[in-house]
Amino acid sequence: MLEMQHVTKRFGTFTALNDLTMTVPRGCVYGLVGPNGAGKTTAIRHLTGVYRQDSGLVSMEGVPIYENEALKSRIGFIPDEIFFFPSASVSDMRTFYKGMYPHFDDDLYHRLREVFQLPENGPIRRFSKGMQKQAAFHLAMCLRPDVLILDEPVDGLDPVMRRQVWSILLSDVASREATVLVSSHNLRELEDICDHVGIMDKGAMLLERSLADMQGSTVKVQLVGDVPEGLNVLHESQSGRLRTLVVRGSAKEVGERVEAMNPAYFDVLPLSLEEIFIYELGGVDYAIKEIVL
Amino acid sequence: MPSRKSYCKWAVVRKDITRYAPLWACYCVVMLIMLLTVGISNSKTVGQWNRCIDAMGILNFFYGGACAVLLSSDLYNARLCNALHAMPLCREGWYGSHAASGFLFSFVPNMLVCGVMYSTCRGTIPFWWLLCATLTFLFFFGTGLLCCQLVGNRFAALAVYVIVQFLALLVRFAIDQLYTPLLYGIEVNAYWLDNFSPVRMLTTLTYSYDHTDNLIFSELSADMTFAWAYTAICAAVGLAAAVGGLILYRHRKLESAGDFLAVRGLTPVMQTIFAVGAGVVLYLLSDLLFNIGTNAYLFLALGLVAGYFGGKMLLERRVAVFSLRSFLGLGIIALVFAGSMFLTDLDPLNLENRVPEEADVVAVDLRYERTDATFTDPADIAGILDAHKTVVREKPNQGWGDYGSVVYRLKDGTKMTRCYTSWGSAEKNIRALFARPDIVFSSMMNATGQRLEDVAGVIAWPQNTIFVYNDEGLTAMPTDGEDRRALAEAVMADAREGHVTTMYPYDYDGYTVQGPVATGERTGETILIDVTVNTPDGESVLFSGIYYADSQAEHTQAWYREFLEKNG
Repeated sequence: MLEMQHVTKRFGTFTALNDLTMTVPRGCVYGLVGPNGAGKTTAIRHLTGVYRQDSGLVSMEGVPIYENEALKSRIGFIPDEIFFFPSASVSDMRTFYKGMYPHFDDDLYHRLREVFQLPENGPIRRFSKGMQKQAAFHLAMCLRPDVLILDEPVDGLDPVMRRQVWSILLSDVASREATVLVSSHNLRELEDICDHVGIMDKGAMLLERSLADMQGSTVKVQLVGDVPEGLNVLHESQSGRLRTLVVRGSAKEVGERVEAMNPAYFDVLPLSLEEIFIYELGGVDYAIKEIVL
Repeated sequence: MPSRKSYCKWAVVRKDITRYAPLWACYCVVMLIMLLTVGISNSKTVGQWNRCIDAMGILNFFYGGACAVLLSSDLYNARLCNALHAMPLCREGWYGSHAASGFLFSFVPNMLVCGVMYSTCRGTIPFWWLLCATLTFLFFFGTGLLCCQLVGNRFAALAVYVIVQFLALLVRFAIDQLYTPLLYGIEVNAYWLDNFSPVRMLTTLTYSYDHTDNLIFSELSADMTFAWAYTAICAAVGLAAAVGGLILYRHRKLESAGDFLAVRGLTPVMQTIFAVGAGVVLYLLSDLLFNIGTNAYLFLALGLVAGYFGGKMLLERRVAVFSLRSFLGLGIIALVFAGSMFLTDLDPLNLENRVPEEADVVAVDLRYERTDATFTDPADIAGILDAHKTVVREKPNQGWGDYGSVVYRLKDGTKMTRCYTSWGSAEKNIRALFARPDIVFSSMMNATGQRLEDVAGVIAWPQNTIFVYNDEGLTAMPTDGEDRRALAEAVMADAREGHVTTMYPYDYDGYTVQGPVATGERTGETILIDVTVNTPDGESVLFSGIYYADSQAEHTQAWYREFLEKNG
């Protein structure tokens, strides 16, 4: 549904996006992850039609998004740094959004008031960070967007509200086949809700596939014995006689090859998203460094 | 497939009206004060309403600029800018909505004021007031919108707005104060640059008569016609500037929010303006405050350096700007600036020393100590050319005297103008020219337009007193209006007959008359009259000078005898 094809964006001499290609399928929950400065927010700003790319194409259903009012009315966006007009209340912002977005759902607004229970008339700038995030989420859901783009959406929310927010999101995805793109550093949380993941680094897409494929294509092997040759080992560590390997390949394939070496002990385990992130980026020289203080 | 574009969104306009309510509320208060001031004034003349029209220029300079800066300020906050541009409204829509808001901020209060004016003021003045208010607002708001698109923060928007409005004045100042003094006797007429400073023009134009409540175009004076035409042109320029702002906005890089300039190509232009502007201002201030003559050039150089690096700090938003490359930029600006001044001073075309050939001159218009005279006689022209040669040879200090000029009208239809306040050793020759009775009379006639009826009266100095130089010395005698009217007629008649000269043959120290009479001997009583002749409405001075009516000036002498008899 959302596509970025060979997109490049420079800010002066700095290349923020370097031939980035990304595809967000319809109806999926896409997790966009990457180290700090990878270009995630810049990519999001292209997808929301804020920036115009220097080259390439940013499109929704094959139509360029930039300056396309019809498409942008179907995209809801919650940035990491929330914006509201100074002195505006939730009610004021609702009025403004109603005027800007043709599909604003007032009924949903009133129903979600039961969930978020935010003061209607006080200035939002006086809310706590978490309350401001709730207000942003409240209003964004009422837009009834086909695409919801979230940059660190639950940062600042308490655990109960986090679950509430994700629950609302996922039910919306299920009922309306909405597409959600989430950028977050909380990979454990993303792992629970995302079905597609894209890992960015230095302005380019390092790895992009469904979470199931990603987890199925890289495994962790713990063994006591020799390491078979020809394995694509991303990472290796040893504790006593126990070796721990992170290997690219399916669990079945890797397991058969290890078993063929008749180790004293071996086990093939799935990787968490966080581990995939760490080990994939370790391959491009973004690893945890041991520093002696 | 491109979607339909909105060019104005009511939600945005409504938001602007509520967000910036304090701004247009202040404007409404100012309008209310204006209405109350005229309404409760003891002198409810039409002139007071007309002055409200004249005031709209200065008012809209501030209001139009403020509207533009505030309505564009969304672009200066990165967070706000990104969030708003993610919304389903194209850039034309944002721009059009804010422009509509700005226009409403002015037009709606103005309509209310106009309505109140109609209830209290006769004629068409309210309509003309509304027209002037709208046209001046369109100019300042439109140019403000353009300036706001060039920059990335509010301070820069205000700075660029002020620079744009006053740039022509700054250039004129620089020409007048820096370049003109380098050319001896040549005044570069740069006042035409004021036409490119609408803030100066629109705040000083006169749009209406004080004594009529109807502006009928057939009765418009030349000044008023110019005022309305100029304002209409400015409004058109403002609209064009607004369109220019839209074009810039469509190509604007939103990541420039917070930077000084949003258009990078303007960086060297702004640096030059900062450097030259600071240099000129510091030069003027130092000369004005300390009167240090050529030493002020040191302050010019200091200002150039301070302005350059200060501007660089503003533009790059950092303090560490003293790199080698920076000095190169400063060097180029200083070289061009100093080079232009040096070249001017060098006078490679030898303009300073140029004196026309006698055979090429048809007539000479000479202005000396507030008196104008035209010379066509070849002997006079030859005398003036000799005096001119003396001046270019001696180059006397021109000092602070009354503005003087010599304009040669040449046979090929062109004119050559030089400005000399002081003529050096040729001064007495010039004085002698102006002291000739025929020249005195013709200068009076030049000023009064050949009609004695234009002489409204004579105001003598000080305090309605005339001075008479006789055996007892200088005697002061008080006069009344009728006395002065009769005296003026007598002086004019004697001047026509060639018996009135100006003061220049004498050395006059304010109390006694000394020295030889350069134009020949005068005997008997000589009446010294300080004559000021006004226009019929008493508002303007036609000519003024100290004149001597000698013993052969029968009319003035007769007046004097009658005056003495009447006053005993």
